[in-house]
Amino acid sequence: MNILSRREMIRRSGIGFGTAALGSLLADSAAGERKSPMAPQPPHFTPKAKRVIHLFMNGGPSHVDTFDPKPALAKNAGKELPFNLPTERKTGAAFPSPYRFNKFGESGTEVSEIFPHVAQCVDDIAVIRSMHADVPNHEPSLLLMNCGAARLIRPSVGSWLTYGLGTENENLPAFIAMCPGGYPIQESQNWQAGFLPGIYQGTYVDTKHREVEKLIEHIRNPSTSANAQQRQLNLLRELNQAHLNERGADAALEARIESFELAFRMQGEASEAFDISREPESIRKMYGRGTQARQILIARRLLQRGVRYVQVRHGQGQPWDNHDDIEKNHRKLARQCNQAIGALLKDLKQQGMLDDTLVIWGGEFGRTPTVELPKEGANQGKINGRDHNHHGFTMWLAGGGIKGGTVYGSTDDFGFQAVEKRMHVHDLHATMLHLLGFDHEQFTYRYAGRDFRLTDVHGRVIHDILA
Amino acid sequence: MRPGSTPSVALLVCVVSACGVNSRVVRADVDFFEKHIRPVFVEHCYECHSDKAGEPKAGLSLDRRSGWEQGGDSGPVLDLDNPEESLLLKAISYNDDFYQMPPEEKLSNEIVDHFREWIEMGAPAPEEEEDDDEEKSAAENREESVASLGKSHWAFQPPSLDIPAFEGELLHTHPIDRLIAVGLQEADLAPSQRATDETLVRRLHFDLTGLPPDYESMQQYLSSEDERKYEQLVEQLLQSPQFGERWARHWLDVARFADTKGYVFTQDRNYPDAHKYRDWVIDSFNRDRSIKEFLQFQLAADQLGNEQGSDLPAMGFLTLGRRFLNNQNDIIDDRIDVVTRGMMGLTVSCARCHDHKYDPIPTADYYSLYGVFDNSSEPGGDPSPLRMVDRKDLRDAHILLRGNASNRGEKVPRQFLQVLSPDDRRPFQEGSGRREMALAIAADENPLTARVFVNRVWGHLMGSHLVETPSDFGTRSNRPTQLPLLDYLTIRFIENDWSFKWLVREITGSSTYQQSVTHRTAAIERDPENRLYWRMNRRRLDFEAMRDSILKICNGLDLSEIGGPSDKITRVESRRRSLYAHLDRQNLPSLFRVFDVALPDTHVPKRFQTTVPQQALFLMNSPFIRHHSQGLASSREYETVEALYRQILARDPNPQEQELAEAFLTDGAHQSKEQTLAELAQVLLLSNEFIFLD
Repeated sequence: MNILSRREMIRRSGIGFGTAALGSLLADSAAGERKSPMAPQPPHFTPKAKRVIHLFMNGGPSHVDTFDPKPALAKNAGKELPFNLPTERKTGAAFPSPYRFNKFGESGTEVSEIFPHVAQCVDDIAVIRSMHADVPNHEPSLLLMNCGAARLIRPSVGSWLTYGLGTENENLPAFIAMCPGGYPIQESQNWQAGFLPGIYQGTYVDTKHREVEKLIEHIRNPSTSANAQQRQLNLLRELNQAHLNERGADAALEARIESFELAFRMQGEASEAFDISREPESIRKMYGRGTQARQILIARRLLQRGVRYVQVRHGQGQPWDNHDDIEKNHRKLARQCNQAIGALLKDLKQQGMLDDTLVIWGGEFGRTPTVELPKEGANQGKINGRDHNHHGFTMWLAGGGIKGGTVYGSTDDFGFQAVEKRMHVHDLHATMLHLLGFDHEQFTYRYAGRDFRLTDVHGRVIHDILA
Repeated sequence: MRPGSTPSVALLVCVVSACGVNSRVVRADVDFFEKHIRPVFVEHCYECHSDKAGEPKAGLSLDRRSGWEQGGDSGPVLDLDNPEESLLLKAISYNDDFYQMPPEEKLSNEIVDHFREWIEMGAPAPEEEEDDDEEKSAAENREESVASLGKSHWAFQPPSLDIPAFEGELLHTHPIDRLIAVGLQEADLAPSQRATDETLVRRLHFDLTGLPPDYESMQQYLSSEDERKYEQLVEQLLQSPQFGERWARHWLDVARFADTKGYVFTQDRNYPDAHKYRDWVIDSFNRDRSIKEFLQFQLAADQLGNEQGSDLPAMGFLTLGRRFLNNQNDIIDDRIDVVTRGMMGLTVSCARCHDHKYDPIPTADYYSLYGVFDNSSEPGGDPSPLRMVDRKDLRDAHILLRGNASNRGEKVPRQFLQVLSPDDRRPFQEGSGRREMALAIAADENPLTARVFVNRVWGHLMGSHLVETPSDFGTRSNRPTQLPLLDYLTIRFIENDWSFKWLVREITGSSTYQQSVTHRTAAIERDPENRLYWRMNRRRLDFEAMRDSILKICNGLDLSEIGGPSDKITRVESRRRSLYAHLDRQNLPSLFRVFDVALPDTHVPKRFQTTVPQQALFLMNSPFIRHHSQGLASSREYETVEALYRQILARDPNPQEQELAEAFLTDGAHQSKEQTLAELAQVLLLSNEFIFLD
């Protein structure tokens, strides 16, 4: 393919038209031609992380029951706190965590008893206890966490990154959003491309399924044999080649010819990538049993094969949203994913992938340290759960460029709001982009007359958690 | 900006001025003030402590930086060295013996903490705004700059007719070709030769109806010796109902059309009558309704349409947008955006939070239009669930400072955009002003509207737009190389009563449109992007044309009903044209995304065109392609290579193709003939010849 036709294809493909990107892409054509919208390309500076796995505890896990112990709650159990912040619903007295916390690793980071396997890895983890968001509702908070904007249509983090970096493996979708059993709240908006080309949208995979045909659309043709399909593609190539020869070089024609070759390879590669039975017994044992184990192991196989961004959600709807029975439910939810998350961190490390894989754990917000008061139709009159809490919550990061064994920031004595070294979701995004090699203020896309950023006009890179 | 490029100065300017920040203060800190402090001042303190409230109580003004820096009658209110000692903080914490502010109720701890943090940060705030006199002069400056930008930018000027007089062979040619010839001659390029009849027939069929010609009509055309056969074919296609269907889909991209509201919690998200809007668009195009009226009705059919009310569904253009969890400000923003970008190529929604950075659109103008929509309501039900009507209790809109709903500024009258108004702009007089707005947008005198429409049509027919940013004609759009051509078409379009079919006739009648897609190395080197139109652009069928073609060829397309309810076309059994697809804004089928269908989230200026393996996978493996290729092969009519070529590509195979196909059939002899024929049919459906338009 000659340079001219590629150049023309980039124009024709519409990727980045009207954007600052187009000018630079063309200007830099000698340095890096983009054959396809997914071809890999370097970011602004040398990245620490090359790929991301976001373990999304959708619904909002309670920080005071997982990674932010608050002994003051036990001391004040059942008493009104000196202050109570507005959240989605009314909450009452201090509600101590039903779980024990212990210190782990050389760092002595405290972790709740419900995450014992994760606790074994704290020296690789930076726990951020001072996260905060804007409002105590799922919908806007999910969009804020995923797309950097609470209401308006903006591209998700994964879309930004695949747009900016392309993929290392064009035989697989570059950005995969897993959620077993169906969509989370706010549905496909969580992985939307917004104003970026649709191809940068996350590919949804329902990891409830085991068969590759159900995991990836149109990955196999049940009525045409592999041999017959190979013959079809051979004939197609001959016809297309003759068509091309008659017309002279044309990047769009060439790219489409190539897309069939790619698709053919994808059939094999995707089937293989999603098939965890190809993992050694020891690895499968390490991840454990159940849906979470399976999807997290699939995610690792995908990352290993060059997928750029994998989001693994816990389940359909909002499983971590425990307005009641939090003791029982949080224990159950943690039991489902704890071993697999611990295994993922160890496994990535063993394989030498942890150094350049950014692992993110967290929900769209945390939960109140106070007990949720009964409300008709809302929590069945049980007074044993916690409401949403955007004032302060915990997320943790590990791997690619993260300083392990760190605890960053803190909430107040009771865990109600972030007070020290507060880190907004925009700051998290700025830091993520930094680790992936982007200056978040310079990584923009021109749309509707404006240069848009993931972080809008906000965001600070938090250097204290960087290695 | 993509990696690898240098930071643009313009971007930095945008970010800095977007926040109204002076250089001494860190932006994030000022953001903190704007987000956490100023709204509290406005809501809880201004009533007593602002200059505008008359005599500020205790001599303390909190509506200006110097106010809190100087303090009040009791002395300074801030102690930056000992924040906890600040009178302001003590008063709002109710920790001061004398002052407990605000008196009605103590502020939340969170707010108090914000104040503490703010004082600890050194009480950052934006530079003081000028006093009244200076403010006025700033506003005047703004008006002057609007006026001067309005004067200088090409798109705000009325179009002018400037067809060069040519001698010799160009004298009598089509005006489009003469205008194109200017640019070509300057670049020392010649136009390409006329495309073959086969190519032109196929091109016209797809461009005008979105469907392929069949073999018989192709043969008929090729054998005809009528000199007017080209024009007759154009006319025939313009009169077919599929013309309206095809172009309706293009307009639905502009209108960000979908059948649902997007995510609205657990409420019913369907717009059950959305299809009535689509039907109205199809019908308007088919009957060649004046585009002026077409646009006006979509904004104010309740006041402009016929008495029977059959034009009311036109207002689906406004009402069928995303509902943003029912947030009224966002719904109105979406409407302002679809109207201004979709019809006028102006990015007015950029002015929601601050004056437009590049175009002469002050924030006040945004809220003037906001007022129009804020005073329009959706009564739903009969006579049309899609309509809007003016509210009875009219109210002026406030400017929302920085777009923040809790931060109200001055009231602004409902009126049209300053840059497109005469010097003595007057507020709208009737009701919401929506009718007046509609008449001002779709007006012969509006320098943008007709141009924007003409440019869209040109783009669809020619494969590239004259103005490359079809929904942004603002000052950051490039002045089109072919401005005289755009202006010529615009003026003549208006003279022809904004007739869409006239415009299509005019463009397709030019030699420029009828050129072939030749590959001329020298020309490619001189003008690689074909900005000068020295040849036709090769185009790829969009999703709708591709799916409809496959259906038609495999005898699976139902053309009996024009219009009607939406259909789940992802079902294999669906026989409806793709434009009738049920579009769930929230969960657009991945098939649509993979094939670059316009995402109905917001107005789409032009579709992206990507080439990815998922497209190939669909064509290789999907139930859809299997169903239709097998269906075709199972018919007795298509048992030969020749028959398949005629049916799928509307031509006979050449000897080499015949030979390749025969060999393919022989190789597959171990399976059923029908299966092998289906496989061959599928290959032809997958071919570049099928999917690309020369």
